Amino acid sequence: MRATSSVLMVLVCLLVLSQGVSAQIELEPLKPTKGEVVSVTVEPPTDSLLLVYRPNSAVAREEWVVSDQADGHFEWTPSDAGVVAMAAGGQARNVSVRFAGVSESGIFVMVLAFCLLFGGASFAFRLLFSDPEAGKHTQELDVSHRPDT
Amino acid sequence: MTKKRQNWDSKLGFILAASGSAIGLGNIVFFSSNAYQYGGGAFYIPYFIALFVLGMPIMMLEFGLGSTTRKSLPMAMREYTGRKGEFIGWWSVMAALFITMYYIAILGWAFTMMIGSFGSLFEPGITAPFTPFTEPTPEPNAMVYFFNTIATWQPLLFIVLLWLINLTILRTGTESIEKAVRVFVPTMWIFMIILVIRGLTLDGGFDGVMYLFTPDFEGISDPSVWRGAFSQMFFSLSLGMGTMTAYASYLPRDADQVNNSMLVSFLNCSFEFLAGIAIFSLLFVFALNPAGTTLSLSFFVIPQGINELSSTPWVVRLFGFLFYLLIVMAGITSSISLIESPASALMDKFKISRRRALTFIAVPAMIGSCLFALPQIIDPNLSGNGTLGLTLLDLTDHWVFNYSLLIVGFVEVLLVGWIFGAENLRQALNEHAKLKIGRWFVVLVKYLIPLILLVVIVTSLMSDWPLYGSAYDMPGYTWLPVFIPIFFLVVSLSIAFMLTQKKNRT
Repeated sequence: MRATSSVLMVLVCLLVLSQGVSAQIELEPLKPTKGEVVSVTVEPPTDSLLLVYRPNSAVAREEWVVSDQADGHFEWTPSDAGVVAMAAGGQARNVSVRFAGVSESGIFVMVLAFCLLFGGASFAFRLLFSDPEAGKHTQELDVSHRPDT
Repeated sequence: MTKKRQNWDSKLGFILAASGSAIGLGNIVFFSSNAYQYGGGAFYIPYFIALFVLGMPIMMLEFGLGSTTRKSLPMAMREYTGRKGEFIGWWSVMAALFITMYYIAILGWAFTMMIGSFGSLFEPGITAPFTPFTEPTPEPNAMVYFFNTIATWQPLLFIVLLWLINLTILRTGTESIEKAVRVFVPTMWIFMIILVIRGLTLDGGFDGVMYLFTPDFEGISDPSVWRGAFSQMFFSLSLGMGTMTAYASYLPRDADQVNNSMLVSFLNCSFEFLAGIAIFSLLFVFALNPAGTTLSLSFFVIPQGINELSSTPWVVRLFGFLFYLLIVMAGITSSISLIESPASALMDKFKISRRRALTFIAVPAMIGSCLFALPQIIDPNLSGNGTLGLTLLDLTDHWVFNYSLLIVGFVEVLLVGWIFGAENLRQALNEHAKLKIGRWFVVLVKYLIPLILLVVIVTSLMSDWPLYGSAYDMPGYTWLPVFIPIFFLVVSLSIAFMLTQKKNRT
């Protein structure tokens, strides 16, 4: 339950940037996919586009796309799926890059975590109700019971 | 000599209460934020290690203290480790009380947002531009709405209401707690499943889930990832606050605390698993960044995603209402345990009635909750970042929640492990356990857990150097980052010392 103000401020800036001026960076297609070329148009035109994969994280990765055209048009092929922060000429927006197909490692981790957590809970539930008499005794406090200190 | 003590009506009642205590505000959004920041699925490696190495063993220890002594944390620690143990127990209880104060203030804000769901808070597709904090625009927008609303008297009313709800639930102890959690906890699970289903049925929602679970191992070598996982596990399971010991003290002595610890831990983490799916699917679809604090995610970012869920206003409002109702319920099931911890300790020590114990706690703590909400109300300019308003909460949360709980946990484990004896505790736990714990438990409690907690505390202090919050631009309040930790330490340690010195009533 942290309320770290610095993070809050960064978030606010991102929100402002992503909402307020999002119309300045246009994408085609609107929902890009990993490995597929995306056409990006920046208005007013700039010569470079900064892409940050997984922004605000410990594993954030930057990528620059440079255009030799003067019309602010870029061709970008996302190398990773996920949230990408785009910035160019003082404008910014976020975009979600979809997976090309199914992520095998993602499915593997999800299934493993699901089995471990829900399997563990089910196992413990079964154990809890396996002996209906257990846990119903010793209603009175016996202060003489003191494990060896 | 015997003394009657309350008991849970059923094993399920205890499990619901303890898991409700563990599942709080942080579980809904904090796990998602950590997973996002530390490499998605790769975060599960330190997370699971933290669960099995630190979370479950400390929970076994705290449950064991409660059920074998049938006393709350300070008195249980006294029975097993002497007066210094009781002192640590009271300090832990004082930390719980401080946390309760601002926790209920935040719940008051969540309640305000829940009520706002019926009004202008949620509108389909609203992404109005605005300049935060200084020039709020009249357009309905979650952040603008939040800062405008916390500057009114409404939150105070809801804080008092939430305190009354908490006290009503606690009025007859286990009986009334059990009645409440039998409704609240299953409802929380149902609401979360509804949010998961809605998230997964969004166009691109499943990609969001893949984004959550696909591992990026690059971040694993970063020590802050491991520190994040271990401290998240400690806080997520509500350890070091005396809540689990208080709840376990109402169990019969032959309860299986090994299995109870496993069950509560797995339920808590399963809820986080579902919450991660719900939040990642929602935020991914709308390209919203899941990195942030509980406060910013709950009050600003997620509502933006909810606004995009449908073009039908009542559907958007219904999901907004469900989300905040979920937060309020998760908060209440945790806050009742935070209040029960000091209440049961006072009852055990001074043999006073539950009503008197609750009055002793509720009066100062309710005033404290209101004080956390008051700065923004008195001066709306304070409801922004870098001002007294949220910074007061941020600093208190940082020192009380982050440090005191870890330090209490560290000393608690050392005292139990070395003075009472980890082997004695293992034998006491195994006496009624269907699944016996091995000697690894002794190694963990005596050596590994204290070492891990010490490393987490020291590295956290180093990362806070020179002083957390000192970089904030707060004209007139530059003394606050120094004052808050000193104030908390002096007050909590003095009261803990005073209570330890008082003679036990029999």
